[in-house]
Amino acid sequence: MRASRVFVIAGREARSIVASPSGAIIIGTFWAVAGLILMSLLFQYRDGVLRLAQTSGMQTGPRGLHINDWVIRLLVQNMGTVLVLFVPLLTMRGFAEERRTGNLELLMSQPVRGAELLLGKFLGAQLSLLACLAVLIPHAVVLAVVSTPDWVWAATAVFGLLLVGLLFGAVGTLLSVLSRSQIEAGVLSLGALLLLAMGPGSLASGRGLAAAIGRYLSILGRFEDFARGVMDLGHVAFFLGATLVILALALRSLDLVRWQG
Amino acid sequence: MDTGTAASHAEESPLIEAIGLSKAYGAVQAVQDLSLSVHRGEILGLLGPNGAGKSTTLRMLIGFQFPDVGEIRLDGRNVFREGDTARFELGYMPEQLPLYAEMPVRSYLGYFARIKGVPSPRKSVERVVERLDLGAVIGRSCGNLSRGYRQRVGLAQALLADPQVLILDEPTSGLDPNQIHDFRELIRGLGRDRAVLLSTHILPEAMAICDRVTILNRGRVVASGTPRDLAAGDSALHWARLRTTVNPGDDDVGRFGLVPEGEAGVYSVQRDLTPEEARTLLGRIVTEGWELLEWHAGAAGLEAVFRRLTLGEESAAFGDGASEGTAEQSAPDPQDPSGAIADAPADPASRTREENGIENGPKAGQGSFFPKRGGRR
Repeated sequence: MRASRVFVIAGREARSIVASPSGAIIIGTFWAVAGLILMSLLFQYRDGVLRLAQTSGMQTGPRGLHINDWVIRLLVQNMGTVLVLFVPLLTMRGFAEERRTGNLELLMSQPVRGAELLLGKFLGAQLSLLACLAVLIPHAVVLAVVSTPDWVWAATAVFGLLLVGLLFGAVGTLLSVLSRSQIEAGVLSLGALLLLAMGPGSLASGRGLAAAIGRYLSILGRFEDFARGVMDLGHVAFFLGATLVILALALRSLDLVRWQG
Repeated sequence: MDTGTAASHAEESPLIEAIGLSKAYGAVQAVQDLSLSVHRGEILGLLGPNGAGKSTTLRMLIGFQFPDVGEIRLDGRNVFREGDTARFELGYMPEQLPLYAEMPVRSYLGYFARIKGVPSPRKSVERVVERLDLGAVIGRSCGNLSRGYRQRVGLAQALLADPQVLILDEPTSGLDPNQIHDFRELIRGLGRDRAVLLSTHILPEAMAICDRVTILNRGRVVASGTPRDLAAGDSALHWARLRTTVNPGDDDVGRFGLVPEGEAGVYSVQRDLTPEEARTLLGRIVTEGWELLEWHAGAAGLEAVFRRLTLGEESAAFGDGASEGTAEQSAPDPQDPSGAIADAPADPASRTREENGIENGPKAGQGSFFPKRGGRR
């Protein structure tokens, strides 16, 4: 596999999303939603601090209302949920639209391997997701101005968000490979990500094997640890492994498309 | 194709080679036991009605679609097992060129040049832009191009890596006559040192630029050969009026289907003659000193062949588009070895597959190269 071809495909894919009017709308909306979430959390944090100061005279700090716990954790957790809605919008075009227009046929006539094409499309969607998540940079500036966050915690939480983005992106790419239109891919991805995000968690509360499986597969549960600033290598391996498995399935699905025509 | 070229083709392996391809979509057999080969310096036209299996065949040839059975080699490399190296020598131009509408032509070509891994993408782009005269639209978005320019951009994309193999799907579709002329000239030029396979519905195009044509119907090759051979194969339609000095013998009457007309000594041939029969009759006319009053040679043309092979003999109006001549215009000279009749072998049925240029058909029940008798008058 040649990385140069992967990056060429990824670059075009990312540009086609980010530079398009629909891409601008998606990214703009994501930024607006993220901004609203931050603003809402900051107001809650301010109100909480004021109430606590009035009642007990405590200052903010490790033993009081810390901005990491009240803002960064909740911000990142909420953005993880928002990704369920937005990742399908970024991945749905990838293969489904290329297939509908006939570009997939043209691309596959090039000296490109299926894995290169798949990784290129996947990375392209990830780059456009990074354009969405770049909203965290101004957020960090705002947080630095209003408080003194624990940056290691914040970095761990963002790292978790990126891992979730990788996994969701892989699911979206897989379903885009299997779909004949971007609408179909988008709807299927949204449904699949909702199931993936909510399903295992709903099983995890009980006891027994089902609960154990639910806890193991619970994406939100694992993500919550990152949001709390806990870097668990087991979680990292889970997200990376699941992403690779789904990408491998996508590669096999691409072969399936080539059997079906 | 001259004999020298044919001899060199026999020596070198084909640049495009498909062996025994079959592909089914559920119960529908799209392509069945299809084999073809294209050598360097050769342009092969793939003809067939809609649904004949052309698109499936092209998709398999370019490596996009797996065949159920069969093997495809481009420049000796298996297109699936050695896909990326095999496809480096492939330039493909689909019929409905799916350009990225938002990309300027320069970026589009640059993108494909980098995907193809050409050593110097910028130079490659400049080369194809110059060759296809795309300078005027190089900065324009692909979505704003006219049909003619879209086709040129598509061909430019196919030529970026200077491939040895070109597969073109309906390359002149939607072009105006001037553009069609230019495109055909271009393809002819490209075919001099490459293997070109083009799919087309336009039969005059196949006649004009293809060295060989392969006709598909219902997923099978029903005919393959040079356009001239295929058309000449159907030039069995000969009939004549002649005046004899003495009444012809029963042998001649029976052999040529001679029927006396009202005027004494005037006979007409009341059935179509094969090239061999026509040649024999001409020989009799010369040796007996009969007067040839009228001779019609039905060079039916590729269109009639196509219609007969793809519609079935009953449906095809065999005389459609036939260029018929009078004795002065088209009677073949038995002494002229270049004439269609003089070239014809002794018995069409006994022509070898090689002589017919047949690679894979026709098969039983699919029609021969020669028409049924008595279909015209």
